[in-house]
Amino acid sequence: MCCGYGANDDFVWRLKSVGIQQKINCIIGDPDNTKTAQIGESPHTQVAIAFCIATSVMAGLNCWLHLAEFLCMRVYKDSFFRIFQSDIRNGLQRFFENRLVRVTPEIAAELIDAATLEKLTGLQLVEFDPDTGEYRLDDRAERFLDEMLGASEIAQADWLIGLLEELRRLIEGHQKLADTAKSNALLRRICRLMRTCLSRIQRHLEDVKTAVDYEYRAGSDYEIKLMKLQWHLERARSFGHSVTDLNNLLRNDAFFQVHQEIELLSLRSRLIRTCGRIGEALIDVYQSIEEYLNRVLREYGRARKLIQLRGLIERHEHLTSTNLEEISTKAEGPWFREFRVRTLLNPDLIDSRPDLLQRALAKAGIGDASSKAKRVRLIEQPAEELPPVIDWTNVYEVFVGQKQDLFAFLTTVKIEGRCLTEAERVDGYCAILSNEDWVENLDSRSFLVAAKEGWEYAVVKPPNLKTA
Amino acid sequence: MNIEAPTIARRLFARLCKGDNLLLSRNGPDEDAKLFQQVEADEDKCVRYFEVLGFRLERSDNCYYFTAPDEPQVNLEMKLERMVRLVRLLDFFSTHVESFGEGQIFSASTLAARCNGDTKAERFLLEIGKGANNQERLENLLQTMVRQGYLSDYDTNRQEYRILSAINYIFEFADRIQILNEGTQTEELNAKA
Repeated sequence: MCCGYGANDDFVWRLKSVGIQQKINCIIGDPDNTKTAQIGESPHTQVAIAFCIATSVMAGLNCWLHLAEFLCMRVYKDSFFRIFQSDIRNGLQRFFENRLVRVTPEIAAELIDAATLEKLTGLQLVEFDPDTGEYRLDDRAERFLDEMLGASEIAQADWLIGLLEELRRLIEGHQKLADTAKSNALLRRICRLMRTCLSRIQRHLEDVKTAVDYEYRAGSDYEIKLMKLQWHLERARSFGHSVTDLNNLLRNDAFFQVHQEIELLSLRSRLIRTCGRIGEALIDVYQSIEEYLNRVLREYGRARKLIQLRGLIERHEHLTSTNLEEISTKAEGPWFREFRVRTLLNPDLIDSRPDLLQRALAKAGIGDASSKAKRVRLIEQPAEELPPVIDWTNVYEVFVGQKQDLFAFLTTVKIEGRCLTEAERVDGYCAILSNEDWVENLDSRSFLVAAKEGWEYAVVKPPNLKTA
Repeated sequence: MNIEAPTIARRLFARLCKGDNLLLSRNGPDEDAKLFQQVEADEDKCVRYFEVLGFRLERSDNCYYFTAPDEPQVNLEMKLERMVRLVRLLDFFSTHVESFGEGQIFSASTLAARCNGDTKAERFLLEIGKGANNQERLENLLQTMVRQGYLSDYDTNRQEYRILSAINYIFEFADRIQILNEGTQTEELNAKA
């Protein structure tokens, strides 16, 4: 498939869209897709419904979504055009809404009065093309309005459908004409349209991507997010169809086989390549939309569950109504228990004294970061030969439980297979003495404690030390 | 038994065992993000290496953390308490921060404004945060989460925070919770409809 979006892809995406539609219907509380009937009962929306049903039947889309889109965009557009002066506001809006159809002077007269039309022309917001005898919005004004009307408006692919129709009409006209001068004019117009298409098609794709990202990240309710993403999915699909049509037209139409002008050939080949690229990029866009939809659904489900859980917790029913206890039993990781390096030293010391951390890391058998990958030999020892490990969490009980001289006891302690060094023994001894919990138990210990200049220290007589 | 020690082993061990931040996020600060990529590239080696030393390198969605099988377990009561705290914390943030999830940026001042007047939010802050008023309690709560590695300071002047990938680790627990009679209630509602 040259453009990456053909019959098979279309079928797959129809299936996916149906699935996503069902998900959305379930989320908005309408699993049987009955919203159409409910909305149709409202007398205020009859005209809109008629419009909706017509477009829905034609496009094969969901009526409810179209109605919502139609109403929302109408309000949005109306409020936006208030930035213009009141006398030109309506005229400009009408020209913008009819930008895809041919506005002859007769139609223009029906849209607005002659004075306003003159004013708009004078302000260069609307221009008259004497060649075709049509009024149209100035290109810059049209682009500005397109951009200012936001992502939803930009994401529409109507321009490509209109452009394709115009291209077909011109080709047909060109084939029927016998006058060389007129046919040359039509040929020039065809080239102009193809150039427009070339410059706009890539930009449109970028606009769709931006709009999708924007709608996903913009802060709105989950339902609105889902609905907007669904619109974008439909629009991207419609854009994909138009790109396929354009590609088929360029490849298969006899007009392009017969006419071999350099400009036309060059434009045709560039457009065919662009169509292929766009088709492939659209697949990524579809996937990102589906991923976003799934994420929104997941987040929505989670938010609902959390609200329910909060209620259960407040009513103290969380243990009986949920599997919280079971999950808690198996729960692991930093939230549920504090993991620390196994060492005799207080964990605060590790955090505040990097030298001690280095020592602890070295004991854990982990080398320097800057060194290259090296092979270490780890010898498995029989269970009874494993060195005793004193964890920081139970070191206090261990020391409280010992019956002999504390300093002497420290000499017998083995940490991961080795005795403490002299410095460590003194460090540890002082750390223990300065521990408030330990101080409370000092009275029952066999050593003396003295205080000098705010420092508390133990009085230990070296000659009486017992060694291991 | 010969085990090859990955070059990043020491850095990883030091990073995941020091201080309160015991999670390594993909979208963390520069150093963390770089380390995450290196660990991801050498994940198998790291897992095998630390397994021999008695530590399990666990991977959640875009984050890493250590567990140790022989480490003394916190008792069940404490675990339940922490689970309830987890649920309430997520509920609080999901309610007051739009699209609360990995990568999202939010402002503390906006959050504080949304909490003002909300009795449930104020009660939650009173129970869980430390401070004289709601503003202080909220700040303390956010700073605690920054220290624990679930958030990072994004713009300190504007008091903006970024949600790190580590949040997925606690989201996983929330996702695993099942409300036992939820299915029955839904069926009843459908039947009524």
